Amino acid sequence: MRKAKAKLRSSHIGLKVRDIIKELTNGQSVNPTYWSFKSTLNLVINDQLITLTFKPVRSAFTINLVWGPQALPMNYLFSDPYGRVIMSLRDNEIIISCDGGNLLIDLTDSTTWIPRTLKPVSNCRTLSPNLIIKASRTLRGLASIVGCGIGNEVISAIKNAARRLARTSLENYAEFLHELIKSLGLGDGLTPGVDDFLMGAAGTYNALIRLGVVKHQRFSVSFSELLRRTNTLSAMMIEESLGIGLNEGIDGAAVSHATQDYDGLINSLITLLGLGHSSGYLQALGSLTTLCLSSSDSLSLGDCVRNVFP
Amino acid sequence: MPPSIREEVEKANAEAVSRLMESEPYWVGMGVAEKVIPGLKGMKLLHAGPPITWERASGPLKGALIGAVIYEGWADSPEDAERLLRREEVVFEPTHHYRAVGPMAGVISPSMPVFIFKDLKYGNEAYSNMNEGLGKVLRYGAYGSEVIRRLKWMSDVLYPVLEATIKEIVRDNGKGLNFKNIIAQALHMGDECHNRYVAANSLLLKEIAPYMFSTGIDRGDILEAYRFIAKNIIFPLNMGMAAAKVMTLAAHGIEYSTIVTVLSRNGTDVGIWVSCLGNEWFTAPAPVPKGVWFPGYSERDANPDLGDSSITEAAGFGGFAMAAAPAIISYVGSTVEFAVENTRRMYEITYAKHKYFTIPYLGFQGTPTGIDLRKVIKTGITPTINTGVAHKKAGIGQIGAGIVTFPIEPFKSALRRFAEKYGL
Repeated sequence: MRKAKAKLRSSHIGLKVRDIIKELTNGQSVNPTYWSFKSTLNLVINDQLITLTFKPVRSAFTINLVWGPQALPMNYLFSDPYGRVIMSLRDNEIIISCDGGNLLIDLTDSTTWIPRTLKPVSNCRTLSPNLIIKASRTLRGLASIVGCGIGNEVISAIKNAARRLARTSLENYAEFLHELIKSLGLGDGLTPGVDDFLMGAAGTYNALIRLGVVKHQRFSVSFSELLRRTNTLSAMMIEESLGIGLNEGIDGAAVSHATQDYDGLINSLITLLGLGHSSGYLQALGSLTTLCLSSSDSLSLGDCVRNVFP
Repeated sequence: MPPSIREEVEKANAEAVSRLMESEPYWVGMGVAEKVIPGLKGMKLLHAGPPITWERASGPLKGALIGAVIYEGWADSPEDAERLLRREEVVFEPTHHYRAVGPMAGVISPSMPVFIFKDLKYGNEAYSNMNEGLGKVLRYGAYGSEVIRRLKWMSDVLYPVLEATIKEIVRDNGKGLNFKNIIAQALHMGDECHNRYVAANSLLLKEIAPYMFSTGIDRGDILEAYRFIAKNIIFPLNMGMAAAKVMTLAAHGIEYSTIVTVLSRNGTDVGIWVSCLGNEWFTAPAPVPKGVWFPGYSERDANPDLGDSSITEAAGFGGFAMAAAPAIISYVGSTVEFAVENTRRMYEITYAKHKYFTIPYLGFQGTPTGIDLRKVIKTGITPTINTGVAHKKAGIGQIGAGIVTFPIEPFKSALRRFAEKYGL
């Protein structure tokens, strides 16, 4: 059978990926673990996650690809999950060979994407609770129009966790996030619903700490704990979102809050909806829950979940 | 209980796409632009894509505007023409504001002959200029003497022949030429009807030839016109675009509808219209197409994408129907697999499969029809089309052809406006 060959251009390459790729100049990576879908290929190389995607959402561990004349869906090439895969770098071109054929990624025009939440914001002034609640209403309306639904079991799990800690303030927010970990893996999809909500909530919380909006301890959880609760890929994505591997939607939401940019917040929420299905919507709800709690000392977790959640 | 906005959107989109598919685009006449296009008066030119200033205009658009000023006799030299344009003594506005469309730079000037298309079901009219052929042509920004000479010939010889021909057709059947039928048939004969019109051109000539020869016009002129059309395999493009414009007009302006009714580029920006948001442009910088280059040129010479021709994709054919036209890959530098996969990918962002435009290779499925803003946002997939590529400098012309994917930003801005309009 003739082997397929796809040649793609990269528009953006995440900060972390650039470093991982550099290591390939000294050799090859053989048989990385991978998950392939139509628009996205997730690879794990030396315990590091790399996402190659046609979707226009950037992150530090993502290589964004342009759908062009030599493109093919990812699962067209990577159809055998047990097949042999060899990845190497040559002349600014990543070459991924698999049983289905060859994928060549031209990095020549690729711009490095750097999260905006890497450094603190000077003269931080945050959005008011009213604006965060208004943004939540807009998000819910848009999610309904776009057709992003959430399973009832996911809503119940998140609301139950919040109910148990309804009086929690931002100071004790980590308790709520730890409570959510007990429900990881709940929901449909590659990244189950509760996992997505945690990515948004905890990712935004840690981003606000980096930006200097919140003066608490960074939230963390061991990878082995995540793996006990959910699938490998989702666990890796949660781990990334807690650090600088958060996606541009969560990154943008945190920065918009810290710079009183309401338009920027709405744009970031729309970006998150582009993650598809319910993932982006739940990440956005998680992010808004955190932003709401950080917007006023007088609001409790219970107040925020009531206002933000559908 | 009143319907939710989501229900309203569903209902509106079903109506919009139904109207788009059921519209009946007929070629009904020819006319001089200033006499038939309402509002095109004085020293005004029309151009493809969203509004643009002279300062921000791309090389090929500037070239085409300069050429049109010379063609109209408003200036004798490119320098004088540029001065008039820079001082806004000659103004230029988007074709879409006048229900007109033009490929590439899309420049239509007041004395240019245009096709008149009418939707016999919903009554909308649309206009497009006549196609000059490939290579050094006005629409790619060339304005040399041979370009102006060809335009004059088109006005003096081709236009009277076509005007008399369409009059004969209307006299015979009382309607005009059904262009939807030509597109539907051409899709079964290896065209996708954006950059490949080989079959459509033969079908067109087969339809019009008997009427051409019964017009009573000098046979020499008829033969010249016939040969020009037969040699120019892209001749029906402008007609296909005018047909697509009346189809999308039928879907435009429907309250709550999130169907994209204009998809266009001016060489600097891309722009879209959404049915329920009226004539408001949502724009972003235009990308440079990826493709194949004529000898001596490369991507470094290429201008960002331009033209109204993506109205074909908005109407459910063109690049969205590439699975019907594997032979186009040699023109745009792609693969047969891509042609098929691109059509499959576009199903993910469209509301329906076309009732009348079908693709044999895909089991006669309908083409992806009705770009739905909601699906673009949800999937992150944006329209991918095929296109010609112009040199970035004015006066040179076409240097290649390729594939281009629209940026996501205009769709995000449109969704934002939707939220504002409906109080979300």
